[in-house]
Amino acid sequence: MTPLSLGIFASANFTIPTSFESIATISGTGSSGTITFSNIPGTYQHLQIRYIAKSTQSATDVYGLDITFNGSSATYARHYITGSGSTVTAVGNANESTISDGGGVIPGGASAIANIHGVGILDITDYTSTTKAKTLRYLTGADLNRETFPQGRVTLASGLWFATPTAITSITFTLTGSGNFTTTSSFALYGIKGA
Amino acid sequence: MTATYDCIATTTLGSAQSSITFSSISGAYTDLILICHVKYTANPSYAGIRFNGDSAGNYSNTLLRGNGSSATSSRNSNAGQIVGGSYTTGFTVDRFNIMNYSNSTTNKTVLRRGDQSDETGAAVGLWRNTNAITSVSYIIDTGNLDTGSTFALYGVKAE
Repeated sequence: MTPLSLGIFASANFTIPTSFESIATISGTGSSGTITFSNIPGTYQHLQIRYIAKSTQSATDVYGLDITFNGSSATYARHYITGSGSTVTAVGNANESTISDGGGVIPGGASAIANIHGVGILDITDYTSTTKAKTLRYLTGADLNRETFPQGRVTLASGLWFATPTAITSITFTLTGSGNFTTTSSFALYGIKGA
Repeated sequence: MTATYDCIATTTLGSAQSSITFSSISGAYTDLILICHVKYTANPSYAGIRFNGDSAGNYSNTLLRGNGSSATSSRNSNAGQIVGGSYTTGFTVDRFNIMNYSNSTTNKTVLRRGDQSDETGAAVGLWRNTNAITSVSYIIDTGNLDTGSTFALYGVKAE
């Protein structure tokens, strides 16, 4: 059977009005280990964050992200299942000060893992609700093409912010370890409209 | 705020094909999302996606799978593709998020969710190449992609 090839010409791209809108994008500066989306408009139904990230910490190591809402350090829970390429681990924690991604998906800056980033997609449903605790769903991972640590990790996770329900107006990502987000790191916030 | 999540191209196979390629992909987006609803005519050793026609061992993958009775994790290095679905008698749904595909600075990382009748899973894959991705191919080593398989490519642009 012959392969099928679909040429796509730039002029043939067509844009269909959608309910998925780009709100803001923040890039790493190399001098900060936090990224915050603030003044998030309440005009959407759900939010999605898509990111690539790397730490400036000069180590052949991997780091994690801690997530908080509205600057609050209480109260969060998280559960995740993660695969390291050999081992599957399931973790659950309640009464945490952040929603942690479980770590191990943001590469450091050593030359052995140069130009490799961790990536993630996070969904927050009903983020403006004042009657529902906020639930976060995310998929994150990094593969480093190595047979010794750090090889790679993929994680499926959920998080819960069960403080008194309030609309989310800011989201902060904090890098673990002592490094900062590289200038090649980028976090993009999208809003999904309801009917 | 700019509406995004554009449908770039779709196709449904009217006959079995050995592979499918989306080529001449615009660099106007931030991420690509490839959604495949695919059936294989035979049990492959591998199925997955390749970029820019690269079939060399420039890919690696870390996988997480559950089959209803156990959960496993595996990985490969210096592989020939980003891993896709595996054989089943029905259709497999593969969703590949190809992150920051058009930059010329970073190696490319892909997040995949795969679901089929006997397994669910997630994976992360790396293409060790800093070139912008201009073509994506869904490939299989044995048999064909069956009639009725659908492939849809979307672009998401960050402001």
